Amino acid sequence: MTVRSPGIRGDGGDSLLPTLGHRILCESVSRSSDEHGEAARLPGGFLDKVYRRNPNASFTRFGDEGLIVVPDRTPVQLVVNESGYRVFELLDGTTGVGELARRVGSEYEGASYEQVVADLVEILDDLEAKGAVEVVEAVG
Amino acid sequence: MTANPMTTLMERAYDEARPMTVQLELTYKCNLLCSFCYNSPLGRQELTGDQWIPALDKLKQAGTFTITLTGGEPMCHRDFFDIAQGVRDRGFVLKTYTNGVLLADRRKAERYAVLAPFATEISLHGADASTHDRLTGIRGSFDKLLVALGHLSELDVKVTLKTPITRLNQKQLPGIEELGARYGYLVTFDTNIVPTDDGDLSPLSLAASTEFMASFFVEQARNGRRGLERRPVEKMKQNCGVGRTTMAINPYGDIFPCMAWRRRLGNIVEVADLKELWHGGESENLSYVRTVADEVPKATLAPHEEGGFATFCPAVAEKETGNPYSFYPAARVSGLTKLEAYRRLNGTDNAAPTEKKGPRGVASSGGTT
Repeated sequence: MTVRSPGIRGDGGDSLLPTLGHRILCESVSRSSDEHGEAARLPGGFLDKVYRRNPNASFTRFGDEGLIVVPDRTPVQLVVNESGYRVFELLDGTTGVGELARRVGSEYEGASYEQVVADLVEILDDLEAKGAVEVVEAVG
Repeated sequence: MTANPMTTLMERAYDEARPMTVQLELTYKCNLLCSFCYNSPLGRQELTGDQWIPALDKLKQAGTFTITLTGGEPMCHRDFFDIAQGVRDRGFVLKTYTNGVLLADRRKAERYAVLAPFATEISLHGADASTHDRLTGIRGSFDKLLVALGHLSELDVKVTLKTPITRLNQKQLPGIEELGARYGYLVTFDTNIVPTDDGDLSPLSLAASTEFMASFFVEQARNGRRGLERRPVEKMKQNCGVGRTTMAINPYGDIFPCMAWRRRLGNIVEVADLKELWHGGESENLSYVRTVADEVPKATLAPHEEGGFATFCPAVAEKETGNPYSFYPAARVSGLTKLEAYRRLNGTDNAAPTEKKGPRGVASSGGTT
């Protein structure tokens, strides 16, 4: 099964939401101050959460896109854009979301910390729902 | 309409000639004696697990993503589990084509489940023991398969049951589907019987009748299980991914552009840089099969009304006729049969396909040749 998700393009048409890369690279400059407050409204402890890739997932880069395959009784195939793939690559099971946001933000010019965090909420939530990533621990 | 991203990705792999999917024939040994098996063992020394592991590293470096373990019966290779673990340790997607018999052993089934295979395709040749065992040539193989399916289902391993349609099992297809459903597994029906790798055409005698196949395609299309659309062969860039996105390696380590086309490109043990072999432009065989794959849709299929419906493999064409561009009899029959089914489905022709002989002994129907 190929699926679609935030930051991820999947089988069968347009994404439900803008891709992560699109948001970080193109919308970061124009976001309103209200949107910048998103990080402050995050569920408690989100920034301390540690995610890791599903240890059974296979993934590979295709130029500026990536393919993630999760073997399961109902297997999942995800096509992700460059930044979505980069996030997935960085989920090593030891880095908290806060640190992850700082690292991703440093790699994309013009993206504020709050904006990256807001995007990470969506993409990690969705990758978790698809079984591609899992939470290792939550502190606080 | 937005393009399907998976399709776009695969087109990119094709353009980059990235060997995404590689089939490893681990061994020609098998615990069954299927009458339509296409393998042609040569009696040479097969690679050991210690030789396959470095081969996996070469494939990783060449950009491979999916490894399919097949055979023979891949689980008859004594190092099957070590090789399969090596596949997963390197981050490849693992697929296995197996007859399932050895997975009747619960411990083996559990060990297999731990590998987290993406796909496991198991051959099922009939809805009952007598039909299945007749085609496999081994009494008891059906019962063992059912035990294996029970284990795999309990262990939550995704399995696809594969049934090549033959004249011996063509009346059992609903029963075969019911059997799969009992374990929560889908059945895919293979409509093509192919010659053996050394060109022996005798397996083709088991093929189901064209009348049966036409009705089958109509029913599958009505149930939404299988599309029945004409492929736009005039516009297609390629017939298949042979020598670009696909590669196959036999039990002796010989490298081929796909499972079907046995034009040797080198040996995985001897080749130092697989990427260079694949992209270096030195292999005449590789250049040739790529050119054929590019030209076949327009040169071979487009001139025929049934060409857009045909299942065409240039490797089979070469085996059957000596010419990979030849629209060989079995391909024409497949096209004519689906064309007939398409007409029935769309109400343009109610005539049943006839078995009259067309040019070069090709069965034709409705004056479409």
